[in-house]
Amino acid sequence: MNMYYATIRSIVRWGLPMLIVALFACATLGNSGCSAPDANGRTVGKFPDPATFKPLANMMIARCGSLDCHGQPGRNLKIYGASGLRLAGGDEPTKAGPLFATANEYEADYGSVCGLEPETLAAVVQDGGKNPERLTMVQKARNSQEHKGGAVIVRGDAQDRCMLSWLTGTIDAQSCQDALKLP
Amino acid sequence: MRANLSIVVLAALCAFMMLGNACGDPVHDDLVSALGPENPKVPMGPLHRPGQPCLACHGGRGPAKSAFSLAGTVFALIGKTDPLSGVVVNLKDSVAYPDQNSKGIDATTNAAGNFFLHSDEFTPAYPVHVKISHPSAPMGAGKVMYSHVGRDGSCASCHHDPTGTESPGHIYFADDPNTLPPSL
Repeated sequence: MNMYYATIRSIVRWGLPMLIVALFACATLGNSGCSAPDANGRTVGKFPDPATFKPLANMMIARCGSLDCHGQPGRNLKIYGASGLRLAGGDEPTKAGPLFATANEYEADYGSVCGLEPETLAAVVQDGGKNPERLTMVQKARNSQEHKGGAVIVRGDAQDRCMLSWLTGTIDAQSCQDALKLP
Repeated sequence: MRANLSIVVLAALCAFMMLGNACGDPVHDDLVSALGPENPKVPMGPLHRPGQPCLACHGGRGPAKSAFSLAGTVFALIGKTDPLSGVVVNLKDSVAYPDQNSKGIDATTNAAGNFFLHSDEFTPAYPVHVKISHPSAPMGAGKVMYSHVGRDGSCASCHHDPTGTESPGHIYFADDPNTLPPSL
């Protein structure tokens, strides 16, 4: 019987303060950590010229945009393209053909890449592409941050050169083209 | 005091064990549940569940005991769900693909159109490139997958019906019945 009361006493002694702490933590999270972003918020900064995006987009469509990877509608980095996820209802992943993407899909891909970390991207572009690993996209591609697809880009390879050149403002179209030949 | 401490420790352990049981992988559980029940006319085994994402159960996390690395179903014709047996599914991963002399690895479809490679016989280094052919089909018949497989060993994760923005539809051997093997 004494044991029973001792148990109750210990629960009251330790459980009540822990419950209060947990409730406080939940309330704090609810008020700050989980609040929605400002719908009218806009990031102003220097972004890469959309006109230079197409060679990078073609590389990403072929290398990253398969339907089991970034060609999935639920992904943060969502890549549309003819061989993967399609943007317009009625379009299907094609069986073959030279077309990489429609104009609207290129535009959506540009928005997807820029929208991941707009402030960081603008800062990298502003710095002429220096320290590109500030971007999660570069970290993930190199697998220096855990990437489910592994290290799909190796530092210095054609894909890497293609992506990094875009951040400097001068796209290396030849490297982007060469990247399409990789296995 | 020591008794109190023991009780607290015991309670904490119980709580952890309960959490462990409750926190399986709900995504995996939902994926398996979404497959629905077995077809009562088909016994569980190599011929069951054609066209479903095989690795949902055979991916190493159960409930199936056998684990596959790549598996799928090939149907005979576009828009039809008749299976095609004897199809050779050729797979080249990122090690085999650049090597002109490498033949990659082949799997052959069974009577249900299903093919599978066990994890212990082939662990692909993604991406994987795929083509299908049939020894009895006319020369040039078959398909080459335009894009690669990025990471998912279940063909049906992407190749499912209906065809739409997110899927090219189920895998089929021919657009034209004249390019099917003569036995069909």
